[in-house]
Amino acid sequence: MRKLFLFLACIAFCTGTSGIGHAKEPIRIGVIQPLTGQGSYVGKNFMDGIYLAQDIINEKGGLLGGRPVELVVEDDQCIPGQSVAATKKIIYQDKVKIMLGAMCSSATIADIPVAKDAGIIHVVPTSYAPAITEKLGHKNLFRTCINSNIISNGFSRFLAKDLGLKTIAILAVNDDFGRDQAKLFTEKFKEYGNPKVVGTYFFDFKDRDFSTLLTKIKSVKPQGLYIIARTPQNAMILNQMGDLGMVGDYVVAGSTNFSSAGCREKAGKNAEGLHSAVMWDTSIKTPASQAYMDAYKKKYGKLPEEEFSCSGYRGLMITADAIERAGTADDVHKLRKAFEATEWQGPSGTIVFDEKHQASVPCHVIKVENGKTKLVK
Amino acid sequence: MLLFFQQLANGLIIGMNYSLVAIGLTIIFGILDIINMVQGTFFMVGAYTAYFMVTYLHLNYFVAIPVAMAVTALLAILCELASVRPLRGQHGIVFLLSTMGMMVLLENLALVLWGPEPRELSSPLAHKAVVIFDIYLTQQKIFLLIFSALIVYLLTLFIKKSRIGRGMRAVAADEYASSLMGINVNHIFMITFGLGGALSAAAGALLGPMFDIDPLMGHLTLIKAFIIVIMGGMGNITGAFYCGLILGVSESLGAAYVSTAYRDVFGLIIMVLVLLFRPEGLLGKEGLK
Repeated sequence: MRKLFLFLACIAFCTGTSGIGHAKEPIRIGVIQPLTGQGSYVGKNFMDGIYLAQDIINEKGGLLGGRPVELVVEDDQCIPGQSVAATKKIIYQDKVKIMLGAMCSSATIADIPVAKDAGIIHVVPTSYAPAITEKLGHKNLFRTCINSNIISNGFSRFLAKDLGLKTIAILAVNDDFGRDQAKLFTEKFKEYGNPKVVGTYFFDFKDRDFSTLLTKIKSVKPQGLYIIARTPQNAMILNQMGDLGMVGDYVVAGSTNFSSAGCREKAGKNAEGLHSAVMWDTSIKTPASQAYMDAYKKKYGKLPEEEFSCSGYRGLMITADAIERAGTADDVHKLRKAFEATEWQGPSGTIVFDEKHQASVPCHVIKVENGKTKLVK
Repeated sequence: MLLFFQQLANGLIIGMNYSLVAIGLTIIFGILDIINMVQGTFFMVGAYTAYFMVTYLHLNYFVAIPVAMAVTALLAILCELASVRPLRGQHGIVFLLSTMGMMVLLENLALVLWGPEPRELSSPLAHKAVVIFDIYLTQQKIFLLIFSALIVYLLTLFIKKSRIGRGMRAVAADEYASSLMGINVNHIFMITFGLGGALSAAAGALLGPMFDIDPLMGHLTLIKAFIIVIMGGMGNITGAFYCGLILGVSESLGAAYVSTAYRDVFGLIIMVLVLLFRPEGLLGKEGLK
């Protein structure tokens, strides 16, 4: 009796799944992001954006004539080892042909060889390390976000020319993202007249006590302080600057993703006057940007907290656009050709890829005033 | 010069906090002869208990600290009953593993229950600047210094003068002989674990308002506590107290005058030097015995 039941169950299962297969087999896309650990704030915002894009695509009837998009999501905690394990899982167990990930550059760099060997399309939606497209990139890798080169060019020019800073200290997280930005910024900053970086100080991405580093910076007396950190570490740094009586004495600048709503809320008045470089912000009011914010508000009941939600949205929308034009979700060759021909209108302008598969994402500058962000440049 | 004194103050404050956790670790080692991996987790539990008391029950922060200490002490006693007592008489490494298991269990439980995102424990003293001779402190930092010193003083009094304290020292000296003298060794073990938990909890609740709290906050603290216990001599309370301060100050000054990138390395260098030249610890092995 039991065997018969099992047999029937098997038949039911087989016919059931093949039935779905014939009608509307979902397109599975792998996503690797930090959902726990220090990167989880940005990871969560990214996921909000990507789920919004998934809803928009599926509500319009999916892709390739009715196939819904299904996301296979894995948590890597921004730890390279875990990220590689997650990449292997989604490639060899879940059999995805397209993956989006990871968040932290160190994790993405570790994932690249795995995805390259498997011959799948690797979309990098949030990692800034220039090496990803310049040194490690391969024919199937596409970066849909800005990179540290573009940020350093734009932001160092703004700080040196527009704000006229002569000396600046850098406080950066000690991983690929922080080290790259600090190095490139130092190189670019020197090119504008005679300003210089008076000191570069690194902290671990798990640190919460910055008083030692900040005291050191205080003794160096720079005009400005450029902080390269993610939320919520950035808010902790600003609050500890407040404790040490440093707020107001310096022009404080933050890397991308710095002036998030989470940071502004936690740091309160300590975040006033802060400048930061962004790809996208709620203060950008182009029609595409407004449409994105409206859709976001409809789904989540609030405005996006920071730009990584937009990165998630952009990453999946560009991917969906490429799948639709390629007419397939499995043929990597056709998909690559479609990605290369991308010309997508989104919240941060028109996106095309250059010959190294770096997306053309602009660098804007925003300033925090009365707890809100304002577009400066 | 200002840099020196500001870094000295920063170092003393963080060092005092290390001391509390390390003293808990060292008394458990001194009396039970086991390495308690849950000590860092008690630090986290203390901070979260204070957080829930303040945020959801609207309890005064100063009341929340003793409550957090009591709740964590109870949890510590449960940990002793669950992961130490059933294994009594086994090799030391067994306890290392069983308490590590407990640590993983509790941390993951915290991750599931409260989520990974850092939270802010609010205190009426946090972010209130106090400037003494151009050295910037906050009221919270001064409170941390005074309250921690008070706890350490009361603990040493308790161990020296009280009946239970004498029992603890007797068990540390010879477990079998003290059981023959009518000391309930099981009770002493429970009390020791409870005390260790309460000390860590106090450290977590005191540090919480300065730096945010999250379920994995105990890891680094545990490593620092290990370094301090080795530096101060295993089981030596005075040693753990002074070495906590030494570690805090050397990290802070090392970062200021050598390199900020190697801040966490200085403690490890000191530990290696102590192990090479004074393996019994800086203050010798008098300990609890």
